[in-house]
Formats: sequence, C-alpha cells, structure tokens
Amino acid sequence: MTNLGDRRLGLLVAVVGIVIIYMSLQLPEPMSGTHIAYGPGFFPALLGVAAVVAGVTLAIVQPSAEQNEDEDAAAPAETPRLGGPVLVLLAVLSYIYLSDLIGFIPLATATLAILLMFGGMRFPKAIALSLLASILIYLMFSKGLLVPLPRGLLQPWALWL
Amino acid sequence: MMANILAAAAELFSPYVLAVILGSAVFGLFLGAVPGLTATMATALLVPVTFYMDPVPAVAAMVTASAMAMFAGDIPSALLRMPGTPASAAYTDDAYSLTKKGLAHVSLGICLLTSAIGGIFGALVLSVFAPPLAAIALKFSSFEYFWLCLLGLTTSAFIMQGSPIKGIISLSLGLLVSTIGIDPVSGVPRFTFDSPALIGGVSLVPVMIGVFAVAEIFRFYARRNPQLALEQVELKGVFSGQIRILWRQRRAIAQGNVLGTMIGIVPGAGADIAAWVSYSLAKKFSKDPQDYGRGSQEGLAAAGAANNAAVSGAYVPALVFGIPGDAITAIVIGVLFMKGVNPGPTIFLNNPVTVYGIFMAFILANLLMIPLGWAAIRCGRMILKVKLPILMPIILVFCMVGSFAVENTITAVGAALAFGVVGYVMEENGIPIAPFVLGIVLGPLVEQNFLTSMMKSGGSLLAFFDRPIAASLGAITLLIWISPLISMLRRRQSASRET
Repeated sequence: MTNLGDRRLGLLVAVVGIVIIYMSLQLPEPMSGTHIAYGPGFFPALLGVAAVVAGVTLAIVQPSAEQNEDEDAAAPAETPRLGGPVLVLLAVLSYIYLSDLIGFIPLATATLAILLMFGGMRFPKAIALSLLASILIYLMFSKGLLVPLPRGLLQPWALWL
Repeated sequence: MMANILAAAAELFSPYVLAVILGSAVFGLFLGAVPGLTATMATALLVPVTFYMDPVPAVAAMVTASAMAMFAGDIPSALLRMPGTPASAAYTDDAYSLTKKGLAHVSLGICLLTSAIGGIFGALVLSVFAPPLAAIALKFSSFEYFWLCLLGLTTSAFIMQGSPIKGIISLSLGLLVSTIGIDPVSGVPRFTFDSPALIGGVSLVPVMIGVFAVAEIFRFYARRNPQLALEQVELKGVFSGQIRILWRQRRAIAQGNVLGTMIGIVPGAGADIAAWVSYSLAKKFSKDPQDYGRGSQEGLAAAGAANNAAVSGAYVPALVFGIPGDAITAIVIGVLFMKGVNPGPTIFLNNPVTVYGIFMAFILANLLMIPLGWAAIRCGRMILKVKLPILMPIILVFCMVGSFAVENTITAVGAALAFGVVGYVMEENGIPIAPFVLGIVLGPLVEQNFLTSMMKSGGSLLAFFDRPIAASLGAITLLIWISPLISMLRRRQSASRET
C-alpha cells in the first residue's frame, strides 16, 4: 500500500516539483536597488526543476530500462501490516496533544503498556515494565538532564517528582 | 612551551578533571548508543553542566562525550540497523550485514579500533599542524565551499545502491526541506505556511530522530513477522583477530585518517561528510566494490576512521580562527566564549594552557575509548538480548522525549513523527535516506555559497572554475554526475556490439 511503484512515484515527485516551482515564483522579487540579484525563490525554484526532471526521468525512462531487474529484486514477499504503524502514529499523536494534560509518567506508561501488549506481553507484566521504564526515563531526563517533562495529572504531587 | 604543556598535563590529570572525563565518556557512550540521540545532542546537553567548570575540564568533557558518542553510534547501527549518530549512516548497511552473518563482534571491533586510531590521528594533526593547515582552509572562498558541499551531497546521492535517480530525488527533497524558514539572504520567510514554529526552519535533531528511528519503528510494526529483525549473536572476542584485520585494511584506515582530518578541518564539513566521502572514495578504488553495502570490512574501516578523525580535525579552524568546523565545535566555541577564552589566533598567546589541555584531552579521550567502548559493546549485548517487541516501544518513548529535549517544544515531537512517516514511505519506495538528511544539513551552506558566488561572478557559471582548488573540486563533482551516463552509454555500446 505504501509502495507506489516507480512510475507513480516519479509522477508524484514531479508534481511536488511543479508545486514548489509555483510557490517559489510567488515569493517576493529581489529587492531593487540592492546588489542582491537573486530573490528568495531562486534556489527553491532550481530545486523544483531538479525534482521535476528527476521525477519525470524516473517515471518514463527508468521503468523501461530497469524494470526487469527491479521486479525480480524488489518482489514484495509480504504486504505490510497497517495495524502496528497506525498504533505508533496514534501513540505519538496522543503524546503531542495530551502530554500537557495527562503528564509524562501516566501517558508514557499507558502508551508503553498498549504497545507491549500489542507485541504479545501479558497485562500485569506489561503494566509493571511500562511503569518502571517511564519512571526511569522521567528521572533521567527530568532530573538528570533538566528537561521540563510535563507533570499533568501528577502536578499536585510535584514536590515528590 | 614545555612549561605550558606540563601545566596543561597537571590540570588534565587532576582527579577532578579525570572524573569529569570518565563521567562524560559514559554519558557520551550512552547517548550515542541510543538511536536518535546524537553526538551533537550529547555535547549540547553538557553545556549547562560545564557552565560551572573551568575551561579545561569543560572542553575536555565535551571533547570526550562527542568522541565517545561518535563511536557509540556504531553500536545500534550494527545491531539494529539504526545509526546512533548520522555519521554512522554511511556504513550502517555494512555493519548490519556483518551482524546478520554472525560477525557483529568483528564489525564493532573494527568500528571501535578505527574510531580510536582516527581520533588520535586527527588529534595529532590538530596539535602539530593546526596553524599552517587552517591557513589553507581560510583561503577558501564561496566557490570552493560551494563545490565542497556539492561534492559531499553528490557522493551521498550517487554512492547508494540502486538508482542514482532516486538518490537525486532524495537529495532535492532534502535540500527543499532546508529552505523552509527565513531566507538568510533576503530575510523573507519561505514555505512556512504562516506557522511560527516553521520560521526558524526545521530543527535537525527531530528530523534525525524521525527518519532514522521513528521510521524504523514503523517498519518494525509493519512487518508480518517482527521477530525476524534481530539477529542473536554472541558479542565475544571483539579484539580477537583485529590486528590482522587492521593490517589488511591499513590502506583504508590511512585514507580514512587523512581524508577525515582534512574534511574536518574544512569549516562546515564535519564527521558526517567525512564518513560519506571516505566510504565512497574507498568504494571507487576498491578491488571488491561489490561488497560495499553488504558487509565490507574495508568500507567500515575507511569510514569509521574518517568520522572520528573529522571530530578532531574540526577543532583546527575552531581554535585557530574561531570558525566552527561543525555543529559540535560551534557549541564548544560558544562555551569557550562564555568562559572568557576567545578562540582565534591569539588563543595560542593568551591561553596556551587551555589549548594544550584540549589537545591532550583529545588523545586521552580516544585512548579511553578502547576499554570503555569495549565495555559499551559488551553492554550492547543486553540490547540484543532484549526482544524487539519490548525494546521498540521504549525506543519510541526515547524518541519522543529526545526530540522534545532539544528545544523543549512539543512541535519537535510532531516534526519527528512527520519525518518518521516521510522516512518510512521513502524507504518503502527504495529512495535512500542519507542524501535527504545530508541535503537538510548542508542546504543552507550550499544555498548561501551558491548565491554569494553567483553575485560575485555576475551570474557567470564559468567563474566557478576560475580558482584552481574550486576547479578541481568542481571537476570531480561533475565527473561523478556524468559517470552514470557514461556507464549507460558503455552498456548500450557493448549491447549493440553483441547483437
């Protein structure tokens, strides 16, 4: 599902390149009266052109020349599962949006426990290990490296943390 | 001079400074070994601690931590195919291939010993040749810088296995990411979509954590049979047979030492480029180029020596001219300024004890690396014994906290996630990651030097070849660019002859 194939991949890169060229051209012109002859869009536009050329080459030239070897070499033996990656995605998103509210230790414990159980660990062991790991990581970063990890729900006990 | 050296030695070998060095060594080894935490980050995290120290222990702590982290980056690289620091990325596939063959102890032994040799070589060059060597780098104009950056980027795009087109795509995307934020020349914000978080550009550490660690976690969970990834290997006999291997690879090590130190000396080019350039040059001149990417000991030796040599070499312009060679020396320069020690030609007159202290700290750190690195490798076995379904969730939490720690902002965690998805999709489609990352790192330098050169020459591209060093660097770069075309034409010719 995530493997697009060279033709579609090349076209996608070319489209990205065209969008970049368009956006670069929207950026302001170089200031007149200064010795700066190249505006902020000059370099990105060049890169956009490079992306279009590379994308089109990949889509048109490359498959006809190297398709046979590619297909033999990259024959997908298995289609990737999506459940695990989606779980990881949700874990990080929940950290981004909820860590301030819930706090590092409770949220990291929950995240770790869910992922550990997804990996086949039993409930009590997963919770114990998650709690231990979260507290250790908290101590290391918050106390050792002075990173202000959010306390969230544990704020009332802040003096103890 | 002798009195200064003795004074520096007395300060360095005091119990307090030795304890600082030992502590920062363990710290550097740990941070380097955790994927997503880099040598740069180890140095940056030491800044608040060194604030309370004298100049010599402060710099000794940073020198030790960065050198150790640079080696320790090879441990997860070999065991999990996750480079602990970007400078390990050049030879990750080789180190991991050896692990899959049950030779993890051999590959880590090579990494450890070549790292120490490279670091000591670089430190000796730093001590002996600092002033004259830096004078050469100082003569570089924007033309030379431009070509040097482009050479680094080119080699990274073209040395990857598979299609150079995909390398170029990866490189262009990386360079495009580097243009996000305020344009350094005109001060206009670009591609920020009116988000204040993007105005300062994309911060490097979350990108590294994203494409190298989060993407690997995605890949792990996407596999049908996740148990396959970890190869169970006994990590005994790290040093056995190494003398023979090192002797066999003496040419690659010598090349890595010299090239790594030279690239380290050039401002802006650090350990990452040194490892890539040394790896690709060793491959070009190798008798067995087909082994590269599949467990080549020669490639490991050439690049492993180069990145540590570059860490030492980067201090040449940093100390003599106050120009940082890479991100790590940039931090060290900042700390020296805070302590009232101003890097520049006068540092040799005003603070000779500090300078000799730094030189000796380098040699000491690299010697200490051998026993401590050995211990770290033995502890690395514990990573192997832990099952990946247990390790991966913990690494994920480390990634989130690690990306948050750099700037103390939750946006960095979002960036790590976004680049994790990008890295995963790229890898799934056979697009190499390294040119992308190098493009992001070197993008600002390439753009500034390109635009400065264009302005100087009034838009004439011929001026890029006017100066002898620029012309040579340019010629090498262009040769690499057209080499796939030449080989394609040759293939067609031989094919038409056969029919």
